[in-house]
Amino acid sequence: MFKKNKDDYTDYESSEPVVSTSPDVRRRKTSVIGPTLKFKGELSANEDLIIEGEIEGTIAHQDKNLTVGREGRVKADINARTVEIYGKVEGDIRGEDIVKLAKSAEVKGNIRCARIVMEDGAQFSGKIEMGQKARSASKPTSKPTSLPIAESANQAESAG
Amino acid sequence: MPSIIGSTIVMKGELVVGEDLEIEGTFDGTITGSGPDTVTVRRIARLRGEVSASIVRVEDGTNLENTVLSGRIRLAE
Repeated sequence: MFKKNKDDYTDYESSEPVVSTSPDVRRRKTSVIGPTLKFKGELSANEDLIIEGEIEGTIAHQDKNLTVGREGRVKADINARTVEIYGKVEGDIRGEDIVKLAKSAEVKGNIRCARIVMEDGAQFSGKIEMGQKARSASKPTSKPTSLPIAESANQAESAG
Repeated sequence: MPSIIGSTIVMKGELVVGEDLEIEGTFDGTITGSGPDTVTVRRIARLRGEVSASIVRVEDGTNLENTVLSGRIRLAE
């Protein structure tokens, strides 16, 4: 009855982003921002993107999947179909389908998505708005179904 | 692990890279290699600005209008 749908947790148990630049990755049309790469400016994409480097600015990445790897550091608003965070993000995140925060994730910003998976240990500071209404950015809700501000585990510990 | 800027990627700004980089997409700005790296510009790429790296590998037929390349420039088929 309460059997988990395995598809909901695809590639998630390992908490490791699948980063590879093998021919398979290129066949899947995935771009990779490597760990030594630093970019400041505007980035837009219409293919899957893995960020292991440092991005500061704006990311317009609709309808595709975006992964911020364990080494990834992003200071930008993120807008994608599926967003998986293993590294650090400062900015608002909007996932058309799902947003996943791995245990190594550190996120400061608001999240708007249809579904969210947050692994134990993930650090998050911001507001979450989820549900069908969150899918439409152009139709802001008058009464957002947002959760209270969730402070990171570290902040909670330091306060206590 | 090389970085890959795919064909649908559009970037505008400053990029510093310390590893091999392949560009298939659109880049407007400056690319600076900070190590013994190779920047490969594919034929389908659209570049505008400056590319500076130890080795800049450019595929034959690449449009390099309004682009300044510096480093060891190698043409590739």
